[in-house]
Amino acid sequence: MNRHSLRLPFSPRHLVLLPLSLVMLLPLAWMLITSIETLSETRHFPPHLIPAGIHWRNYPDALDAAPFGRFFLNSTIVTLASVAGNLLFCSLAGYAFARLRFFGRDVLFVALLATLMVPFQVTMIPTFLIVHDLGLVNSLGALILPNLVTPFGIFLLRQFFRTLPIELEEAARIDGCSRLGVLFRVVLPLSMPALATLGIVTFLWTWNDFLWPLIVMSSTNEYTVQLGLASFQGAHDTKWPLLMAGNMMALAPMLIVFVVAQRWIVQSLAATGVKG
Amino acid sequence: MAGVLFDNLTKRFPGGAVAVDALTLEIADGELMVLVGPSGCGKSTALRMVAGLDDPSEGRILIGDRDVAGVSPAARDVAMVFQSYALYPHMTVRKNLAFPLQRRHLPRQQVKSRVAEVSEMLGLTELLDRRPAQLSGGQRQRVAMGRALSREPIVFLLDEPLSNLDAKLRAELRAELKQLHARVGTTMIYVTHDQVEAMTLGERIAVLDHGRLQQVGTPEQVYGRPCNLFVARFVGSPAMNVLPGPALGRPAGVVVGVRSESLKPRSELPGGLPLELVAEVVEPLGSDVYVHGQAAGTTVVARLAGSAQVSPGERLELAVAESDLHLFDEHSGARTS
Repeated sequence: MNRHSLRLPFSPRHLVLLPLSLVMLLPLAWMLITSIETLSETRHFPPHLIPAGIHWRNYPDALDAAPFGRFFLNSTIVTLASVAGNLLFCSLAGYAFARLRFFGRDVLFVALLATLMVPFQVTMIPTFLIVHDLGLVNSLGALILPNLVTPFGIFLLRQFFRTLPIELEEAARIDGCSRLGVLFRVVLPLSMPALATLGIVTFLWTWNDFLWPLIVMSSTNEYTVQLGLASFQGAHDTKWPLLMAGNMMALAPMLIVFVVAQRWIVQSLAATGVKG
Repeated sequence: MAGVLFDNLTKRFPGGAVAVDALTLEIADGELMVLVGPSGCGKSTALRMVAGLDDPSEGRILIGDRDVAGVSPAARDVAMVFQSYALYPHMTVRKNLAFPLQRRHLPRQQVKSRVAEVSEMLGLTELLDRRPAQLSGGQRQRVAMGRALSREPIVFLLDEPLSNLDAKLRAELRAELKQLHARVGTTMIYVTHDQVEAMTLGERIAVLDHGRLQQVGTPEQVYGRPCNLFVARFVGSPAMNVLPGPALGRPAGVVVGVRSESLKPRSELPGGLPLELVAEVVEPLGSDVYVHGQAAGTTVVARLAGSAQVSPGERLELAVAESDLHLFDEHSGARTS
C-alpha cells in the first residue's frame, strides 16, 4: 500500500479554531488601530485597515482628558476588594452548603440558586435603596459591599468542594483540625482551580461593570475606569481615538490577570491528579 | 494508652437502615482487635464512631475510662488509617507526617525529631520531600501508617488499610504491621472484610454480620468452634462444608459442618463417618490438593495431601472423624454441640 496520509503540522481542530480566533481578535485589532489614528482618519470611508502613521499622542491625551489615575485607583480598589471578599465569603458559604449538616440547608441552597435567575435590573433599585440607607451612595463602599459575595461564587465552590474526597477532611479532623482548620488547611489548598476561576470571573465582572457604578456614583472623583471612558462619548460627538486608547489601557489589567491566572488554572488542574 | 469499650452501641441511619445493632465489645489496652465481616456488616461504621466521625444513635463508647460522646474527633486522641490513605495531596510526605503534630502545637524541634524517628522506623526517609502522587501504593500506605504513628495516639483505628494493595505486598505489610504493633504496644482496632487477614493479624477477632456481633475470640477459637453457621461459613478458606444432617448419620433438622481438611481418604480413617465425593474440579497447590465436587447433594471441598492423585469425575471414598463435626440447628443456625 502506497498511500500517503496528509499530515498537518498541527491538530485538525485548529483548522476550525484558527479562523474562529481571528474573528474574535478582529474587534480588538480594530480597537488598537483606532487608538493610534487621528480623529479624521477614523471617519474615513471606506475605513482603511492600516493607518497612515502611528498617532501615539492619543494615549497621553486620553489620560489628560480626565483624572484617569484616580479612576484606575478606584477600579483597582473596588476590584481587589470584591475578589478578596468573594474568595473568602463564597468559600465559607460554599463549604457550609457542601459539608455541614444543618436544618433547612437544601431549601436554602435552592433559594440561593433561584436568585441566580433574577436579573440585575430587578434588584437594582432595592439594592440602591439599601446602599442609600447605609449612607454609602457616591463612595467606593457602594461598589464593594453589594459585590462581596455572589450566589454564583457560592454555587461554584460548593460544587467543587463536593468533588473532593471526604476522607481527606475526616483525616484532618482526626489529626486535630477544627472545621475552619479543615477548610483553610486542606479544602482550600486543593481548590485552587475553582478559586482561580472565581477570582478571574469576579475580577472581569467588577472591572467591567458599568451600570451599577453609573447608578451610585455622581462625583467624578469616585468614578471607575469604565465610567471615565464613557465621558468620551457625548450625545453629539464621540472622540473615538481617545475612547479606544482609554479602552486599550483599561483592558491591560484584565489581559494580564487572565494570562497569569489561566496558566495557574491549568497547573492546578494538573496538580490535583492524585489518583494512581 | 487505653482500651476501648463498645457498650450496647447502635447506629441507625436516616431512612431506618441499622448499621450497628446493640454491639457490646471490650477491647483491652494494648490489644490488636480485628473487626471482620462481609461488606455492609457495620464494622467500618463502628470504627468511625470510635473516631468521632459518626455519632451513635444509642449506647456509649468508652476510650480508657472516658465516655467520648460529644467529644470532637480531634480531642479523642485516636489516629486513623483510611482505606484510601487520605494523604494530603498538596503536602510533601514530611508535611503529611508533621501535620497532626503541628495541629497539636508541639514545639518545632520536637515535630522535626518525631518525623525523623517515624520515617526512620518505616523506611520513609528517602521519600520525605515527595508528594503523595509520586509514591507507589505501598509507599503511600506506609506514609498513612506513619502519619498515624507520628503523634503517638492512645488508640489506632485502621479501616481496611491493606485492601488497595496487591496480594504480595499485602502479605508483607501484614507481617510488618504485626511487628509494629508488638513494638509500639498501642491498642489497635483493625477493620477488614478479608477473613485471612483477620486470622493472621488479630489477637482476637470479632465477627460481625448485619450490624450484630456474631462471635468474638482468638482466631483459633473462632475457627475451631464457630458459634453459628454464619461464622462457620465466613471464617476459614476454603469455607466450611455444610451438609444435611442425615448425610452423616445425624437427624433431620440438624446441619453438619465439616472443614475441608477434616475430610480424609477412608483408608486413613477407618473408624470415621463415610462420605462419597464425586470430584469435579481438582486444584493442585503443591502442598495440598483441593478437590471440589458433589457429596450428599451439595458442593463439598476436600483438602487432601499434595501426593493425592485425583482426576475429575472420580468417586472418592472419604471419611470424617466424629470429633471433627460441627453441628448446627437448621433454622436458627446456632451451634448445638
